[in-house]
Parts: sequence; structure tokens; C-alpha cells
Amino acid sequence: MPGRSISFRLIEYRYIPLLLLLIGTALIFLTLSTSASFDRQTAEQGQQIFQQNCASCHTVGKGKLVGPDLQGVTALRDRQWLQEFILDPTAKFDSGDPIAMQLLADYSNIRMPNMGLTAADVEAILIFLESSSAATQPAPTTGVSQSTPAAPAVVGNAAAGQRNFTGETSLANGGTACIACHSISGSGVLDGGTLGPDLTQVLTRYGEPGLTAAISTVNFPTMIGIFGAKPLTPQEVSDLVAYFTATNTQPVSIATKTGLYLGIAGGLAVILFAVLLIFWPRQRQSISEKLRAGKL
Amino acid sequence: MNVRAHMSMLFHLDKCIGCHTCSVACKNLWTDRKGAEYMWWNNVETRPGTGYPTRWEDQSHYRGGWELKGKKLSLRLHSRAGGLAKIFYNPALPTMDDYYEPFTFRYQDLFNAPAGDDQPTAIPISKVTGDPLDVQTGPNWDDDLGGSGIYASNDPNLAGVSEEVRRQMNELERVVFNYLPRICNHCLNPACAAACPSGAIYKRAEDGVVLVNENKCRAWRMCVAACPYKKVYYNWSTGKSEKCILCFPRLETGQAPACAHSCVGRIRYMGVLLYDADQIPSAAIVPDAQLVEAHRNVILDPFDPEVIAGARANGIEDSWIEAAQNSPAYKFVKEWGIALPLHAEYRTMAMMYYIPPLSPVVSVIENELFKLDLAEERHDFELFQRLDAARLPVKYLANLFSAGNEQVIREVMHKLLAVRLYMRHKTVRGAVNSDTLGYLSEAGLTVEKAEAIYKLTTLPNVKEQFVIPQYHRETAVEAWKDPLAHKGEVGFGAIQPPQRGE
Repeated sequence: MPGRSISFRLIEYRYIPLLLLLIGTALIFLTLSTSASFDRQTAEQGQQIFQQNCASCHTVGKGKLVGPDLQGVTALRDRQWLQEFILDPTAKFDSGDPIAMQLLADYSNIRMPNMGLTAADVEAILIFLESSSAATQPAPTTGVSQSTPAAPAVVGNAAAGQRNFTGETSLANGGTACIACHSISGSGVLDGGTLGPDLTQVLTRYGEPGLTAAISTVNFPTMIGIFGAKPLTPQEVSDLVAYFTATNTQPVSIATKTGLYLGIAGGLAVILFAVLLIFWPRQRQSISEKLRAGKL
Repeated sequence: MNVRAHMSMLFHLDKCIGCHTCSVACKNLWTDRKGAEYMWWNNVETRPGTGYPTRWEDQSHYRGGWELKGKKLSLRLHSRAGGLAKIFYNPALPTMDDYYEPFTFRYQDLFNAPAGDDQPTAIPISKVTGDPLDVQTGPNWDDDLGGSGIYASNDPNLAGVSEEVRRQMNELERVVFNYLPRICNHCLNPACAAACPSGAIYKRAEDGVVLVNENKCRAWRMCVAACPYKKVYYNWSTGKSEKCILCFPRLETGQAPACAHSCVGRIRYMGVLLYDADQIPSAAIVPDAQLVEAHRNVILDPFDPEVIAGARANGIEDSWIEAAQNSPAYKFVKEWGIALPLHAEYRTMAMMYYIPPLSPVVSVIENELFKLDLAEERHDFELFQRLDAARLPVKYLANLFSAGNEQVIREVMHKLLAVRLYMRHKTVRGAVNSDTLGYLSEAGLTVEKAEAIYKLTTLPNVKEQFVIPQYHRETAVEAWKDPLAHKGEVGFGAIQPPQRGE
């Protein structure tokens, strides 16, 4: 028997160089194709990236959504500034850059999130923006446009939106209910989750077209993983927007909620310690200790 | 009849000098390992005393052994449902303080101490934490009645001994102690095995050794609490329970266990006992006073043809039957009836036996002189009549060896004393008179039996002391392997050390 098992292993060893050869070839091909793609930066590619990452908040020549209309932005701003800003907006906001500060003031203090793009992606987007700006007339940089890109043709129902938000009705494509991460004062136990921002007055911050676009494409880095493959239906989007509109007048609840959490946790801890205190003296003393202490 | 064989050890307490050689031999052989520092599979206790772990006989605290409820035995530790409810919290375990915190000394202090007027000392440090330790107790802290005001007077076996006698035992002229060496009793009805939730403890078929399967042990530690003798120990390093294995690797190669082999006083005997497994359930549920008798009845006569046929039917080798016929354990326990199991009232049916110790007569002070509390002449004969004049109270010995039945102890003491009187008259006084023979027959002995007891007690050679039959491991090996191949390969390969959680 041992002879057979050894020959088996010899056959296996013979395949190893072949396997290494295959892996090596595959690696070379992969590297070549990747480097080749750097040379083929085109406006089409830029457009594709723009649609995937930017279109939920920005338009080109169709007016302001959450963020500004980017028609003619390449003429308006220095190209290097644009590159740096798109690559890492947080750094720009944090460094107190005057243009970034002005943008914050103009757009309800909403910061553009880091989209995780590469330098090559940014370059492609800029080429796309340059080409499209050249093709059309610059649009006004302020003022909400009447036309929205993903304007739903359906009418929203605030009650249905609330049920979607709380998870009472599950989302049609299987996405996670909003309440898991977001809160709205007056919904569910303790108003909802605390991972994402409070959405009580989200309409004021985003504006209705911006909000609709944002929940239609959910292009936020944290949410894209959850909703990328399970988008909301147009009906759900308009229901949620209606719900957000209805709750827009309520006061933001985050401050009182922190106090509530602390209060409940503290209360439970006090009760636990009180119970421990009752049982503490009943802890078993070793018989040896009792003997030496003369307590036996 | 369901005849089985058992390797039993027998301790002749009159011969024990309390030197602890057995404990050290066992320690060096088996428990000189990480996690086993505190374990003494074999220990020697001074009696009266509290033993190791402290007051292990106090079952109201440790809850070991069996309890007779009506006609049924149940573990004192817990019921089935109770055991499940308390499976993650077993409050009856001895603490480290009940055993003792193992310690060593920082000998480097002797070399590193700065020059000074005093001799440097090596301070004691804990073997668990490595920190300096104020040693409060040890495995033999009350050796030779050390600290007897605390320890000896709190011996649970003094229950039922009158206040008067207990007070006397503290007086210098009447003080008395003896030694009690203890190993696992390899019981016929082991409470440790019954309490194990994992089914890891089993009793070997061929010789009755109770073993822990460390591959199955899951560290519930119910065995530690359930064993009334506190002879299962938990290894905190491997996360497994361990216990005395009766040195089975030595037995299988024809050697006596290390404790017995190293015994200076040659107090230990090893031999085969044949017993009837069918009688165990009924023998374990008799009233306390009848426990010893019932236990003796479970042990079978190896000369009885019916027993021999039953043994052969159960696959017991002829060499084992022959060993049972020559067994010193059989002679002392059954034929002569002078060896008793330790604490029969635990109802685990312990298979290690003890010959209780004789003790001097109580002395009194007359005219500022010590004097035996007996008439001037014929001292020894009077002690035979007045066992209550012995320094160790009969009640105390009965609590240890006969579940409180004093009559059993008196019979054994009479036999031991009769042999002593007979031999003294024969060798010292030169003549055996009718009085001496009268005491022999009163104790239920004949001259031949007395001579045989004397010979096996004082002059046995090693072959008579340890009658260990051939183990015929090859017949067991056949179950899974070619015995010849096994013989050639044994010792090769990797040993898999026990691992926590596996």
C-alpha cells in the first residue's frame, strides 16, 4: 500500500510547474490589460463613472440637486483644485479651504463624501466634464432646476413610507429597513438606529429633488454595499420622500435620545449591582479558612 | 453469578510509620507536571486529623458519595435535573485553599542576599502565581498532630465519641495518633463515574481500575465533587480531570504500583479479588450497620468450583484465578476477616482495604507516675477484654472503617490482639497455655490461621506481598491490531498531550 500512495504524490508534484506557469501567464496578462486601460481614458469612460458615482447629487447642465450643477465647472475652478477635491473632499473641508467653506455655506452644510475614486477615475471624470461643458451652454450655478433627473411618476404615501422606514413592510428588493441605521423622532423604540445620521429634518438639508435622487441611487459609501444590488423601487422612493416631508417639521431628537440611552444603561447596571450585593455574602468560604478562623 | 476480577491494595496500618515515601514516589512518577502541582494521588494523613483536602470526610460540605433514599441510591451531589441546572456552577468543589496553594522556595535569595548580620532565608513563593506567599496550609499540615487544637479536634470521625474521651485524647499522657495512607479506592460503585456528564470515567473490565478518558473529559468537574474520597483532581493546565491509575502500566508489566513498591514499612499488599457484579446493587442499599458484611459477601471464594466455572465463563484467565487463590487481599479481607474498606457508608464500595491499627492502653497518673490503666498482672489479657481502654476509641475506628458499626471493629481487634498474644506467649514466654488458645478461639481463629496471619503480616517475601498475575495484553490488543506488530511498534509514534476543550 505505501508504494501506491507515494506514486500518487509524484503525479501531483508533476502538475505543480504547470500550475505555476498558468498563474504566471495569467498575472502578466492581467497587468498588461490594466496598464493598457490607463491609456484609454475617454470621455465615455468618464461619463460612465459619473453616472455611477456622482449623478445622485450632481447634474451637468440640469440644475442643482444636493450638490451644485457641474456644467462648466472645469472653466470655473482650477483643474488641480478639482482633482484634489474629487479625490479627497474630506481633506479639503477639514483643511478649511476657502472655496470648500463657501460650498458648505451654499449647500446646507452637507459635505460631499469620499467616493473612493482613483486618480485615473478622477482624470476620466474631468475629461468627461470638459467635453460636455464645451458641447452645451453654461447653466446658472444657483437656483433649483425644475426638471429632476429621476423624477418619479408615482405619488408618495407618507403612511406607506413610514412602514417602509420602520421595516413593518419589507422593501421589495430585499434591502434593509432604514430604521436599522437611521432614526426619525417618533418612530419605533428609541426612534431608531444610531449608525447613520438622524433623518428627521433631512428634507430641509437635501431639498426634495436632491433627496429623491439620493435615495434612488444611494450613492453613499456605507449604503452602496447594502443597497447596490437591492435598489428601492420608484414607489418606495416616493413613499419615503413623502414620509420625510411629513416628519420634516418635527424637532430633531438626537439630544434627548443620548440621555435616554445613558439612563436605561445606568439603571440596568445599578439593578445588577444591587442583585450582586444581595448574593455577595453567600459566596462560599473555604472550609480550611473557616477552620483556621475557628468558625467551624 | 457474574464473576469479575479486581486488583485490590491492602494497607496494614499497624505497620505504617508515616514516612510519606509512597506519596513522594507517586509525585515523582505521575504528578510532577504543570497543573498537577497540588495533586497527591497518594497521600498519608495523620489521624485524628482533617486530612487532605481539609475535612474531606465532611460530606455535608463536599457532598460526595451516595445517599440511600428509601430503596434507591442517589448521588449526594445532585439529582439528574439538579445536575443539569447547576452544570456551569458546581458549588461543592474544594477550593485551592482546601487543598493548599502549591509553593516552593526562592533559593536564589540565599545567593543574592546582600552581606548582613543574619543568615539569608529562601522565602516561600506560590507555584501558581510566583509571588511570595504566606503559607497557611499544606497537604500534610497537621502531620503528627501538628496544630491538633484546630485540626485533630475537628476530625469528622470523632462524631459519636463522648466529650470525656475527646478531652482525654488531648492530654499528653493519653495522646494517640496513627497514619492513614490513601489512594483512589477504585470503587465497585464509583460516584465519580456516575456524576460525569461526559461519560469520561470508566472502570476497566480486566482489573477494575477506574480511569478518566482524557479525550472525553470536558472539565465539568462533577467527578471532583462527587468522589467522597476527593481523589479525582482537576488539572488547571490541561483542563482535564486526573486520578490515581493504580500504576496500571506497572501492573501490566508485573510490577507493584510505585507507592506499594517503595513502601518502607512494607505495609501494602496487592492481590486479585473475585467478586460478583450482580450482587453490587443489593449490597449497596443495605442499612449502615450491615454494609461491611454485605461488602464481604460480594467477594467470592476463588476455591469454590462454581465460582471458578463462572470466572472461566466470563473470560477470566486461569492465571488470574490462581492469583486470586494466592491473593493476600483475599486472605486478609475474606478468609481472616481483618481488613475493612474505608468509609463503607459512602456506599461506593471501595476496593482498597485497611487493617485497623492497634493502640496502647490509656495510662493514668498515680503518685506522679504514669501507669497503664490496668491491673498489675496480665495486662494484655485485660486489654483483650477491655478494648475501651485502648487509646484509639472503638467508635472512632468504627466511623472510619465500618460505617459506625462497633461490633465489626471489636471482632477485628480481637483477632489482631489474639494473634499478638499467641505469638508473644510462643516466642517471648516460651509456652502457649490454654488461656492463650482460649482467646484465639474466642476471636474465631485457629492456631494455623494465627500462624498464617503472623507470617503474612511480618515475614512476607515480595512474591507473597504482591501477587500480580499476567495481564495478557496481547488478548486485548487483538481487538484492534496484530499483537506481534503491536509488540514491535509500541513506543513509536507521537504522543498526543491532552488539550483544553478537545
